[in-house]
Amino acid sequence: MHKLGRGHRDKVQQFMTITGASEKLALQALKASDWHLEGAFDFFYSQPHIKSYTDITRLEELYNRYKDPYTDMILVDGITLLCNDLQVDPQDIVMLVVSWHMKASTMCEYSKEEFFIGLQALGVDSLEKFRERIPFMRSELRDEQKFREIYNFAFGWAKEKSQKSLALDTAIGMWQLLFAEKQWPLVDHWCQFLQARHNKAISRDTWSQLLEFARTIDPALSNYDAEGAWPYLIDEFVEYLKENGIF
Amino acid sequence: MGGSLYQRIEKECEEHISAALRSLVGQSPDLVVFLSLVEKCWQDLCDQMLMIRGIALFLDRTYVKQNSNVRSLWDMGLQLFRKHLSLAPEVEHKTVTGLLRMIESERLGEAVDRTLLNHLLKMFTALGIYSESFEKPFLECTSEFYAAEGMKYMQQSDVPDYLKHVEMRLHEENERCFLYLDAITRKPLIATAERQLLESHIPAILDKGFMTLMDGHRIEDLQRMYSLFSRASLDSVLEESFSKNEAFCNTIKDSFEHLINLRQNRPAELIAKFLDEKLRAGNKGISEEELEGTLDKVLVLFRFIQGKDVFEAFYKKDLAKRLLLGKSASIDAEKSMISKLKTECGSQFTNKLEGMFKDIELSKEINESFKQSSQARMKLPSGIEMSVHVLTTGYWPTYPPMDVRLPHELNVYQDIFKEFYLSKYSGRRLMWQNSLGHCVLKADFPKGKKELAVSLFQTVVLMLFNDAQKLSFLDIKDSTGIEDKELRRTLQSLACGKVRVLQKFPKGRDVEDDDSFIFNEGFTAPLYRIKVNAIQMKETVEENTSTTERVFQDRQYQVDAAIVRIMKTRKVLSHTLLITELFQQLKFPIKPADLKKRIESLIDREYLERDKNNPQIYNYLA
Repeated sequence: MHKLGRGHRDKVQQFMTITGASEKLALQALKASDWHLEGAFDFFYSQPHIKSYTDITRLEELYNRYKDPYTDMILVDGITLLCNDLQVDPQDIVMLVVSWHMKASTMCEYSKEEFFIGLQALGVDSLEKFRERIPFMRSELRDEQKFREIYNFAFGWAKEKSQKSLALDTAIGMWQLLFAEKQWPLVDHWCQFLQARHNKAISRDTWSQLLEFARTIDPALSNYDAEGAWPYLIDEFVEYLKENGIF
Repeated sequence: MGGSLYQRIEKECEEHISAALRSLVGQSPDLVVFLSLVEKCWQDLCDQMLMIRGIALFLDRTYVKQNSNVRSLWDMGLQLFRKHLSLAPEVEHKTVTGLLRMIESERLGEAVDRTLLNHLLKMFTALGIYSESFEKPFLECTSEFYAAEGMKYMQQSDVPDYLKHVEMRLHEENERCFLYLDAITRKPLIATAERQLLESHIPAILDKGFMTLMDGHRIEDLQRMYSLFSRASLDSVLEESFSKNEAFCNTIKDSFEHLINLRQNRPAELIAKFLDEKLRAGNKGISEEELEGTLDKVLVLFRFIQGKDVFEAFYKKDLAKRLLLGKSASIDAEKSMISKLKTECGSQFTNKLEGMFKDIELSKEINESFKQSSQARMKLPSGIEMSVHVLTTGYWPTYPPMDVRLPHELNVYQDIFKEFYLSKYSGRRLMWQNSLGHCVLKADFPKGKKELAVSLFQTVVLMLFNDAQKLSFLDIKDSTGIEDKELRRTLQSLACGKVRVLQKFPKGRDVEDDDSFIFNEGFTAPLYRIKVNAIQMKETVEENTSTTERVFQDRQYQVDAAIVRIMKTRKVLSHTLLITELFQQLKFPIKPADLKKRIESLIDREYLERDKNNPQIYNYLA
């Protein structure tokens, strides 16, 4: 280990903390993935049928702990209890990742099916294992591809079931949560702009394109093409920034 | 070096795997025990392959990656297992049998080891043999199981209990799909269960239970029936019965939904409206037979309506209009419908409707007599033709009483008729419904004589001008005694619409208090007999919708149509090229920003999508 450079040593340490693997295995995984942490995790966890080793009876017990007494679903109280058990704040973004694994259709409730699918996908059938998985789930947010999937998932999950678009307040809340992770410098301006000028719900297209905007356009807007296919709202945002002398 | 290491690993694995599988042959007659052995064998394989892969990680990430025809170590292990499993078919067969037995036990109420099922089915999936080896026999078993159960329960239980049982079974099968079955089995599994438990029994269920549920207001049971049936494709039932008439199908679908949700008036209103449409004149190309057929089908629905008196009210209103205005397509068809309703609901229901017909026929006779009568011959001036519909109160809808001061002559004619009528039917009271009356006026315009078909109210107003050249609104109001709003409508129809028999000063659409009217000397029209529409007001209001707004709205549609047209042809197009094409095709000025808005609207409505790899490109969605 002392032969490694500082950066590599840190990565090995991180890998071991997150996966609980031995130093030897950590080294191997990292070497095999060219010292990219995400790749190493992917490799370590993508062993296909390790996920099947969940005990259905234990899953049912776990489900029954959180299930609502009157309906066959986990509702707000159950979710709060789950968060307590996991020792995470219900507003913590890791709960979004959990919901994504479950393919949950809407926030604040989990169907029995979603609960099972999610925990099986994570290879978890006990609270202990679930807690152990949390660092891994946080790491998934740092994978660009996964983050995009989670971000796009969030739209469908956060909106009302019967609506096509996402209410503005909810959208702003979600953006602030997501971009705290991803660090987009313009997020506050974007939210202010929407509240001042738009005041309507957000379409799916605008939602997904905003991520592309945040990813590809530099904060000085030097590579922004107004003739491009950006949604109209984003064009307006750029106008707004120019008008207000931010650029 | 990598190659030879790989081969040696492969050889070792193969020896080990084939031995492990062979050892399962002939093991344990007890199926559950056998299954556990299989599971252990599989679990061992997985653990061992993981370990090997962990040790030979470098091999997997280098040699394997560089040689495309070489499988990863994991896949190699799977493939070997699959190969040797197929060499010991009795193992596979016994496993499948065991699994099916376990599932059957669970369906019969026993508790089974779901984890075992879960792991073994995942093994099948991993080996790529799930569909052929397991799913196929599983679906067959399921079909047999539910066919038998369906028959048994239908005989033993009443309809509500049966439906509850079916609902429970479907829920159970659905759970199976995330507890241990692979997700791909869900659709065929539910379809199979529904087919055996529901579709084959729909006629029996409807026969046995439907009316009982309806009569007993068993709302929850009805909802269950409806939701189960609509899953099991009610569409096929609908299609067979009502295939030809699309509008009818839509009406029915609406009606059914509302029906089961017990929105009291909707089905009644819709059905009455539908009948009105069918029975009105102007239904070209529909033969008597077809009409009869349609009426019969309507009756099927009619039976399910709970608020039959609501239907009667709507039907009566529409029938009255048809009869009084002479708009019926065929009196025979009308009567046929009434007699069908009579058969359905008894005579009490159709009494009033039949009464309306009687009144119409009787009125014909009365009018004949009236013409021949002494009163008519002696007192009615020649050249005046008068016919009266005598309506029995109670049979007909109630019309709001409308005051009007008739000109002297018209009062006289009404009195003449009244005298005649009461001489024949003493002890009755006649009340004139002046709002329903209409006349044909002979008018002498300088540019030519005309006949004007107008309402009675319009007549009253026009006749004032026989004695005056110019009249103010207030004058007219005084003389006629017509209610304010009604009078304004009437004057509008005479002075502000298409046919301007009067002229209004000052000009304008609406009738104001200080307006004046004069006889239109210069009136001219191509036809001799002209109908002056009394319902002019509605049209004027519509015309008032801003013309510019309509133009913009229309443009929006054109842009949308152009975008869809272009994308349909090109399938894939970049944003810039799409904009260029649009500018070429659209003939009116439009900003690129507006075009973007329409594109976004179409994305939202799923006509197009952005390309997943390049958001500057659009794909057409068929």
